[in-house]
Amino acid sequence: MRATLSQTVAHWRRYLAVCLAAVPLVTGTVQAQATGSIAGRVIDARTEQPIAGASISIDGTRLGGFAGADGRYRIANVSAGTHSVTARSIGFAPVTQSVTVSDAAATADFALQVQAVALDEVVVSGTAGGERVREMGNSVTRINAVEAAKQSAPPNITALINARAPGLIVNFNTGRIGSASSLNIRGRSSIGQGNSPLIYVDGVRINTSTGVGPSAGGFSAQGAQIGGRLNDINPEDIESIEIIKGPAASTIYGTEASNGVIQIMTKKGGGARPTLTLQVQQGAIWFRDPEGRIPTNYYRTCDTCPLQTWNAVTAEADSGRKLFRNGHTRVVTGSIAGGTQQSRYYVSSSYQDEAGVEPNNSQKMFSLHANLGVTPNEKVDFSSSVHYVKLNGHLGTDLGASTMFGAIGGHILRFPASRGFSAGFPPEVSWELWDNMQDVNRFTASATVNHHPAEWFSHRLLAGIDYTHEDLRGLERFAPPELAVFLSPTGATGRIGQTIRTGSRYSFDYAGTAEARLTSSLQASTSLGLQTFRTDVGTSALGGTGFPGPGVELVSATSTPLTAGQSESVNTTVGGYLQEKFSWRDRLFLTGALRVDNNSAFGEDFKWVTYPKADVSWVAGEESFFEQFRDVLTTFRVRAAYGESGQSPNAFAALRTFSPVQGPGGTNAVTPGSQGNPDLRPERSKEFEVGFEAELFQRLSLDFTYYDKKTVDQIVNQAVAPSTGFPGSVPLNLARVDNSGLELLATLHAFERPNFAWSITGSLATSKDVIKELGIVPGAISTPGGANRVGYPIGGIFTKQVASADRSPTVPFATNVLCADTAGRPPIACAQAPYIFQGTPTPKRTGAITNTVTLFKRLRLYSLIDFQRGNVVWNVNELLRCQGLFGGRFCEANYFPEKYSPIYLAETSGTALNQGIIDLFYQDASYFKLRELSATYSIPERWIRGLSNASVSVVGRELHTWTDYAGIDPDFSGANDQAILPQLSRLSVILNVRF
Amino acid sequence: MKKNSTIRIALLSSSLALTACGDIFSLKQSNPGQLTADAVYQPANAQLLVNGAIADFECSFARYVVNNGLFMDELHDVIASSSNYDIDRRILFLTSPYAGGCGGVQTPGYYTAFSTARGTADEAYKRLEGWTDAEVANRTRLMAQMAAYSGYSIVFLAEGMCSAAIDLSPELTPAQLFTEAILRFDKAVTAATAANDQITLNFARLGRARAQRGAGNLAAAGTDAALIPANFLVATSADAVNPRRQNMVFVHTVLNFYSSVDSSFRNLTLNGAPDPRVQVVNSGRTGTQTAAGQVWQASKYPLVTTPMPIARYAEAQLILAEARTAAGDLNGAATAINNARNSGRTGMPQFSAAGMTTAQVLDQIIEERRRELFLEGHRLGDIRKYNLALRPAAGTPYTIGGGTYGDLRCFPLPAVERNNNPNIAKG
Repeated sequence: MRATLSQTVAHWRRYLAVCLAAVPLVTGTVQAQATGSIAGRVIDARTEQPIAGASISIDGTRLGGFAGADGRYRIANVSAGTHSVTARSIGFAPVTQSVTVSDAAATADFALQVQAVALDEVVVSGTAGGERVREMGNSVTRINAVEAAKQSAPPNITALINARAPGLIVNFNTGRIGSASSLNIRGRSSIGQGNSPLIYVDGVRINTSTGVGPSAGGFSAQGAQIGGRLNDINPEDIESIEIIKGPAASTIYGTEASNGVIQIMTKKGGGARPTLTLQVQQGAIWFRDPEGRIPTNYYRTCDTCPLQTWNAVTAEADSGRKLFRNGHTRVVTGSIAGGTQQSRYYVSSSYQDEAGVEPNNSQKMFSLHANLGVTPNEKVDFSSSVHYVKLNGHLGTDLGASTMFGAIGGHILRFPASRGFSAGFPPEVSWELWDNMQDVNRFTASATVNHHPAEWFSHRLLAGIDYTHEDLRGLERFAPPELAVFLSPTGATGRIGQTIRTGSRYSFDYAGTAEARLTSSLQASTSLGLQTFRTDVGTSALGGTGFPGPGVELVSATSTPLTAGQSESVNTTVGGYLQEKFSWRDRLFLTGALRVDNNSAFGEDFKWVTYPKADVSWVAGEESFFEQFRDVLTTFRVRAAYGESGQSPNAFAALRTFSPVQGPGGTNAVTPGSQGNPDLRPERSKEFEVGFEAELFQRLSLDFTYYDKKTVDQIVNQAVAPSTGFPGSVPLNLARVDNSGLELLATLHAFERPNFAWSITGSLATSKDVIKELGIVPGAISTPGGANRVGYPIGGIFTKQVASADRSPTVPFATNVLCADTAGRPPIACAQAPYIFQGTPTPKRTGAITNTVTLFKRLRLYSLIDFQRGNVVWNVNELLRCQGLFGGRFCEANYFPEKYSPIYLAETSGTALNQGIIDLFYQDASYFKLRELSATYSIPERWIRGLSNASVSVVGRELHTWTDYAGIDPDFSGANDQAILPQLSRLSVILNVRF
Repeated sequence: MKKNSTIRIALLSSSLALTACGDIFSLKQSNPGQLTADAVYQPANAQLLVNGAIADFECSFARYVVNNGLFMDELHDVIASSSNYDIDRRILFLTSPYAGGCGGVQTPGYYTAFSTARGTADEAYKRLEGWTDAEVANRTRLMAQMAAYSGYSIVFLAEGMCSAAIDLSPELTPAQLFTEAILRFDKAVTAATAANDQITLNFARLGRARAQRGAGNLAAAGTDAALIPANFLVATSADAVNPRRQNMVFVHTVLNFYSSVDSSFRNLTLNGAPDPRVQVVNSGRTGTQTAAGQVWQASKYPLVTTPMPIARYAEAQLILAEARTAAGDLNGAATAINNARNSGRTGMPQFSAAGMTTAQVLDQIIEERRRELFLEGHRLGDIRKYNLALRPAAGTPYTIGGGTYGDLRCFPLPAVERNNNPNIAKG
């Protein structure tokens, strides 16, 4: 029987209580002994700036700390004697010092050198205590979030991640405030089960749903569903991000990890003394070049009438109105971090207030974040992490309910009553009446106990919860008379749809690692883990139409309620792993692991799934025979990994069910629901990757990976013949998709002078996905757009393709139109022509180039240009304008056909869409973007008496695009680029002071 | 001491893991919004299953009447939508919406809808057969209902589909489908008689008469039809809010302005006076396809909750009239026609067969059926049975949506059946 939410929460309360109780249990057993402390400062050897967040650890113990914002740290309770103390930070080579502790405080300062290939960095590997990079046979990309946030003022976490890890693609949605992007790693590999990676925050698996927004009452048609829960995380709270790219690396994360794993670590506090940091950001948000990007439309009211052009942006400006206002961003973040002898803390609070370029688009977010840590002795530490977010957003509108739609598809001669805007209403109808709201309360917490009882054994226990409450409302207000004239009588009375969703995600994770030195050269380590993850989601939807008057905005006030809806789902994963690692002279590492999982969405007749993994890492550069190359090749490691992982089916896919319906006379009745499949099993991804890291001349670092992934047992829905009497489709494990690609990350420290440093980082990733098997015979493609077919990428674009046409004097100025037939045959009539592959929606090549110049150790200039190549986007705006589907033919081609090819003209026919001949409107969406540009100045200490540190930054985002795409913005991942607001530009000034 | 702490931690971890087993380790999956098949197929749920089968049938029937009307000449399209144009101009693709189930309003489903209704009724009958009277109250009566509703579903597939399948059978012709329907009506009659359920008995008899008529056995049809008592009526049980139970003709023509009563059913008179069987009114407004003219609505369905007749006395009398005509009893046929006219009405002009030929009387019966059974799901079957002229004729330009009218007289077997039924050759 399914437990209720309250029962489950009660269980978890008990677990947390037990975890908390564990600390005194353990601490009570430790005897007093002579102790001292170690303190010091960690700085960047090049700039002499403090490295905030650097970790300092005492080898062989749980003791350690983090440098505060001033770079200072202090570790207490260190037993007397000589210890190896190591300081680490992302992007720097770790430094180890031998420190002798007596009764007096020992001092150990660290100056860390920048090092792109940092083999001794410890990454979260899923095992207790993590692993050093050198031990892992796969690639892990780490992002120094503190540094990245300082350089780029990201409005949300996806903007922070974007272009910082080769192979990780951020799929940008509309540019509206509150819009969330989905993430893909190494392209797309699942046809039907989603391609988003798992994301953990401080060890807790979190809600990363996208496409969130009002849906009840038909509001999805306004493009309202653009929110996403990943954006609830405040980028300023993040210390670092690790990206584990595929099954070769994510095997021990089990089912659901086949799309990779992202680990987000928040700031931990520490430091020698309390540090108070205050950051204020103030900026402008604007639509760059709207009059140039929103097309100018052509129209005349009769064949002999004068032709007139109309551009919505200039027409409104000429009338004293501004179509897109300047928005703003204001972010205030305050944090205090520090520690005492046995504890450390980091508490921050942030308030973000953003307004978009339209009045019905804004967001306010308040967040509170606290990390506490207690290290009672060398053997144990306890930490907890608590985040709370309150978000209130107005998502605005896109598609047919938007200003963009009216502007792109309008003309003053065609729609004079609505000032030229198409769809029959001017922008103020959308701005003043239509409001898509999201109100979110988010609570994420975890408690972790790390225990290091013996030199050879350490283990960890984590319990966490991520709770989200979303109140999503789509509102069309009762229209005042001056706006009611643009609406139908029913539409003018308004409507509302509300969706209330609560989701809880529970994580429970135990991991232990035991190490043994087998010989003087050979070491073995055995890791064991046990995890369970449970997701409960409950949704209620209600709504109604017809308000009695203005100002009334609740469902209870509507005259006609909509049928209410409710759903609940639970998904549970239980699994464990066993991993064995052998290390030869700390240079050659061999790892083998086995993960076993079960999931509640598996069919009843399918139980446990097993995923194997093996990898090898060889730090060849440290071998003696490599001495001869050391002048050139300072670091060199080769690695190879094979691993499998899975993706669970949808929660109820395995169940054969009946749906409740109303019977005759209002009686209870049932009707066939889902077919279900008791044999359903997870999709299984098998990945092999090989690569190397190298550093040349201590200047150029290279990180190269090639991967090859096969995802089998993909779930496809096979339709059932209706004559069986139980209609629908049955989910079957039939399909296979192959992915391959390479990733290269190169960093060149071009200049390293005391007053001038310049580094350049370039990344390139390729990805290719091919459907190898579908397992079912798909019907013939009958409409243009995305389709899944063997031999083509997932969601490959197919249209009929015009092969030849002649000019004609009559609209659409093309005749004798013939379409391409299958390869090798001459063109045929378009009605009989097949649908031809036009391209993939997934970028084939992505990457970025960043430049960082540091002048006089104080001024840092930074730029990031990123790119995507090789995908196509459907430019629906152009299609609708040219084919007359906005209600008039508005393209230049419609009036000056001599400037265009007959083939293009053939596709401006009013029936071209119905005929499927729209290949020219699927356009290459390759681009380069100047995504980020910033200057940060560290204010000299003499100017800031009383402060320990202060800096001021000017950061620009989304400043320029180089592209051949004819639409408004190629940086759009949806199926149809139709009246979608582009990514908005931003310019912010940030003042950061520390006390 | 250190050992102790290790043991304590280990014990703590183990106990946590064990405690957790009870709840968060549970892998039992359930969907609280749905019932599992195992839970449904229980004797205690017999009435629930029967209700479900009838609900599926009524939902399908209400949509069939609209499909029937749009495809043939009772309704025409007034909404600017290519899929609505398709059915209106009798050009269908094997994936057109008619292939769908009992959802949709603008372009209702038909084949999957009735296949499901047939399947749920047959399954319920089979389950009831396996259970005992002790387990299920009124078991025989419920079996009679299920057999009858299954029979009707097959009749509607036989009258409208070019071919269809039952339980993954090979492609069945309409004649074979009528035979399948008759088998079920036979069972229904037997069970209803045993249960002394007069409504179901007459419902099954009239269904059998309709199936026999479809199969060309007019004598047998007449025998059953003659037994149907005056005022007999089985209709849908409509609901104001639930879309599955609304009067779909009202929803289409009045609520949403998707379709209009065709001009051939407007201003019909009988002996110079308006014919009360085909009363229609002009709504005064258009649908989104303004070129299609104003929307005319049928007065017989004034509300979204008006029940839609499935089987009634007048239909039985018109079948009887057809049977008598075939047997040469023209006066008897006239009596039956007048019985139909007088059913529920007063002051109707009376028909006389005096001086008429058999063919003339048959034409009159076809016209009587066109008017009497207007928007009750009979017109397509009659046009097919008597090969009546399509209106407008095939090849006539379809002005509101382009192209011309097609010559389809039945709904082709859809792709979803053809592609997924192993016993049917792939197209």
